[in-house]
Parts: sequence; C-alpha cells; structure tokens
Amino acid sequence: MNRENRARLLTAVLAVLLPLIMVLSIVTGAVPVGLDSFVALLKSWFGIHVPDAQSHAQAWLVVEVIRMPRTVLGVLVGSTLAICGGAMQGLFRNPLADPSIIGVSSGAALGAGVGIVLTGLLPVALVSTLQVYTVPFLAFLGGFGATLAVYKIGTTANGSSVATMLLAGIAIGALSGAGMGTLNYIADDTMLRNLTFWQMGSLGGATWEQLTVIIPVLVVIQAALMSQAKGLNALLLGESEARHLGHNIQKLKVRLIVLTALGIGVSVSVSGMIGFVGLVVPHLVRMTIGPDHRFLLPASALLGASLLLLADVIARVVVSPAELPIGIVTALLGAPFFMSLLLKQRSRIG
Amino acid sequence: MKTGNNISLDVNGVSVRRSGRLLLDNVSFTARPGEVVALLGPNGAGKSTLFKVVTDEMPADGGDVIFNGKPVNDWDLGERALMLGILPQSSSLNFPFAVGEVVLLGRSPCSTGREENAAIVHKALEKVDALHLKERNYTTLSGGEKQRVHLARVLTQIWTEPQSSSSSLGPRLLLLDEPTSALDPAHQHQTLRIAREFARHNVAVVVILHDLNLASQYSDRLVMLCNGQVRAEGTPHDVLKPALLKELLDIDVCIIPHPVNGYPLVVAA
Repeated sequence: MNRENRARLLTAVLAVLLPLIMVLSIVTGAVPVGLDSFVALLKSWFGIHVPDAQSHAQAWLVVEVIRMPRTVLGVLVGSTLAICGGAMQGLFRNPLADPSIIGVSSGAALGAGVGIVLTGLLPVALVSTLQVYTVPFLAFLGGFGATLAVYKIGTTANGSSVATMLLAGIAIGALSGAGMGTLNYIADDTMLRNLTFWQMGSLGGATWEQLTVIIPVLVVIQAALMSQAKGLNALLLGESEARHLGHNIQKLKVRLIVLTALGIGVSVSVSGMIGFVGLVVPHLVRMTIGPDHRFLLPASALLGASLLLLADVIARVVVSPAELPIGIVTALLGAPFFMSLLLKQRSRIG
Repeated sequence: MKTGNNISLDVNGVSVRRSGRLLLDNVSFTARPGEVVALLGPNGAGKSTLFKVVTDEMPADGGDVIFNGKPVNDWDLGERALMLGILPQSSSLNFPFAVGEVVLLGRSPCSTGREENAAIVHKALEKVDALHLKERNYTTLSGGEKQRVHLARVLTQIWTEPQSSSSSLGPRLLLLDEPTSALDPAHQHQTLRIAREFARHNVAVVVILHDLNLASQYSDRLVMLCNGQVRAEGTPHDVLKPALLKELLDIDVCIIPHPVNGYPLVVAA
C-alpha cells in the first residue's frame, strides 16, 4: 500500500476512534453515568420520547453541564496542540520542536498569569468579563514572543540546531519561570489557585460560554495551519529551496509563527500548560505515514484529540473522586518518549 | 520583449561587498538557451556568492541580474519557479520523506495533474539512475544518492516548457552548484550528460564545477572566476591554457587533445 493510501486509512481509523473515546470520556468520572443514560440523552436530543427520563435526570445534568464541555474542550485543545506541534516542527525543520519544550507554552502561561493577576487587581464585577478576553490575548502575546525569540536565536539559513533551540527554550522557560514565581509571590489566595491550575493544566474548568468563544477561534487557526501544508512541505527542503519552488518564505514564516502562537496561547489560556502532546502526536503520525503535512496535520489533529481525552480520563480515574492535573499525566507519558527521541538523535546533537 | 532563443540569463557588472571586502568585482556573463556554461575557479573565488546573487538569495551591491528580460528579483516567485531550476550544493532535509515524495515536491509549482506528475517523477528518477530508490526513506541514503535525488527533483520542476496562459514566460534555466561533488565517476558523467540533454531541449544551463576535464568535455563556454573577477571566458580551447591555469589555479599542467573527441584534456605536468 502506498503512503497516500496508508495516510487515508489512518485518518479514517482515527476519525472513527475519536467519537468512541469522546463517549468514553463522557461516561467516565466520579459520578457514574451509564451508557444507557447517555444513549437516552442522545435520543431525547433527537426528539425521541424517553419513557424513564426521570431516572436519568442526574446523569443528564452531569453530562450536559460538566462532561460534554470538558470533552469538547479536550478535543479542541488536543487537536490544536498537536497541529501546532506538527507545524512548529516543520517551521524549525526539527522533529524535536515542541511548544512545551522550547518555552512557547511557558511564555504563553506567563502571559496568562500576568492577565490573571492584572485583572485580579480590578473590581470584582469587571474581572470575569475582562478575563475572558484579556487572558487569552496576553497568553498569545507571551507565546508569540517566546516563539519569535527561540526562532531568532535557534535558526539559521541551514535550519535550526537542536542544541541551540533547546538551550534557547531553557532560557525562555527560566525567564518565564521567574516571571511566574514573581506572580505567585504577589498573588492572593484566589489568584494563586488560578495560577497553579495554569501551570499544571486541566480541562476541568470547561463551560459552554467559554467554548462558544474559543471554538470558532481554534477552528479557524487549525484550518489556516492545514492550508499551509504545501509550504511546510517545501520548507522541510530548506528555506532557499522553498523559495526556488515559488514560496514566499518570509510571509510563510510569519504566518506560521503567528498561527502557532495564537493556537498555543488560546489553548494555554483555557486549559493551562499541557506538555508533550505537540511532540508525541506528530511523531507517532510521521512514523506511520511520513512527513507530508497535507496528511500529517489532519491525522495529528485527530490523534491529539483522542490522546488528550484518554489522558484526561486517566487523570480523572486514578485518584477518583479527586483528579490529577492533566499536565502531570501527559508529562509522565511524554517525557520518557522525548528522552527516547533524544537518545536516538544523540549522535546528531553532538 | 523576449522572443526567440536570445534571452535567458544576463549577469551585468555584478559587484558584492561584504564587511569591506569585495567578493564580486564587476562580474558579467551570459547563458543562452541551448548552451552549457561552466563556472570555474579556485576555492574562495566567489563562485558561490555569484550563485547566490543569480538565484536571488543575496542582493548585489552593484550591477544587475536579468533573467528572461526582467531583473531576477522582480519576477513573481510562482512564475519564476516554472522557468528556473536550482540545485544547491547540499540539502538540509532531515525528515523521513520517501525518495519519490522528495522528487514530487519539484512539481509543486506546476499545475499539471497527478498522473502526469507521477510519470515525470518516474522518468526523472530513471534519468538519474535512482528509480530503485523511489520507495526508500530519503534520510537513509548516501551523500551521492541524495545529490542525485535532488537533481531529479530540480529536473522535474522544469521538465517541460512552462505553460502559462499569459505566455509572458521565457526559456528555462538550470543552475547546478557543484552537482558532481559527491558522485562516483559514472554518475558524474551521467549528471553532465543530463545537463547537455536539457540544453538540447532549449534550456540554458549554468554549472559550477571543479573538474576541468568534465567542464571541457561537456560545456560550450567556460567562465573562469578568480578573486571575484572574471579572468577568462570562452570555449574550452580558449580558456584551458597552461599559463592561465598556472596563474589562476596554481597548477602545472599539460593540455592534450582528447584522442577520440578532440576536446582539450588537462593533465598534471
């Protein structure tokens, strides 16, 4: 089977898998929700009469108010992180580039943190409305600044050196860490809880109001990134080669940096720092179907959504009825994976 | 404005100055459709700088590069890609594309259909003797194999005359920067035979070479660069003279005619 057909098959399999995992995510958690309750809810949505509606009332409330928004958020954030990771690896021409490793996520988190503390100093009535817009915007600015800095420091005409890129990431991570530490120091108790949540990541805060704001934004960002697939493919050959193939490299790079920073900034602002999704997912996909971004980005989106939902299910189940921050789960899964990649690349890093 | 064969590349008095040093000093040469022009010269002569100016990767401080009637940097990038194939010395590609996919990227500026593109990729790989590598992972190839794969990619890019509705495009130009540096002798000759073949199909070819005998055998004209200046230009017979080579390349040589074809052969004295 040639690679294009394999890519289509993989995409189809992932597209079937995702709804199943979404159902799993909806029925799992501290409050038991039976599959029968969920099916009954679906029926009632389609106007089919459900005779024992009363007995499902509590389960339906949990599903509609908590589990569904959480699951939808997981799909959005997982797919966005994976697409942004894939696009970033193309931009840096380096398969180890990942928003959480090269400091983009921590830059975005710092932006979000500044937003929380700044808006926290305002009168209570203003806080929640302002936070909805200010925090994602500042998270974008933080992520954008970090991406730009790592790109400028770590990339030459011959691509990016893994070592320089990782070192630049460490430096930016340290700077953001210092900023976060300062914010922790000056924050009051409420802000502190908010900040901790941002640093460890969680899908727990999902609400429909929030989703109506971010769904269109993230869908547009994902579509825009996927439309850069041809440019990304050419870019893998090298910047001059991509130019010789007719691409305006300067514009392409600016577009990619802005879009990935936006995607990561918005994701971080609603779910905190969730690491390694952008590294692990495109890598797994590339191993199966190769680096062609026309197939890599959509397949990564599907797999990223599925994996993040699974991680969230794990985070909810292992210490139930409490839950682990999801960032801990993805780091526990992702860090060993990253180490194995480093070992494989060791000779090239030098 | 640009009809007939009499247009492709005109480099007019190009100078490049970097941090006080004159890298190129008033360099002029031309390449017309149907001819192979070899750029020769010692290391540091300015060949790569000239290549970068011609391919619009580096601005010139003086002079201009006219490609098919327009300054090379005035062309629309997409249009230019249909006429200008450029093979750099080496590539930084390190993602696991299949070889066939790498070559297919060369077709991305062209608006031809899938089947035609696949056929062109097949023919180009055959031409560079790399068809057997088509399904292989690019990153596992040897240096010489990679060089041939990229040659195939650049060939597919300008495989056919550009079809443009506006018909404002001109003849094709193929620029090769040391295309034989990683190749064994058989493939070195094969690469230059391909250059000749493209020239026969109305393509202008400019190739940077170090091997004087390859240049002598396959090019119509030689341009000898030294210290950023064109020091000699003409047919292999005109340029390959012992005194000149001693002066520019610091080698003692004898020039003898090739026993079969008569082109000048350079052998160490």
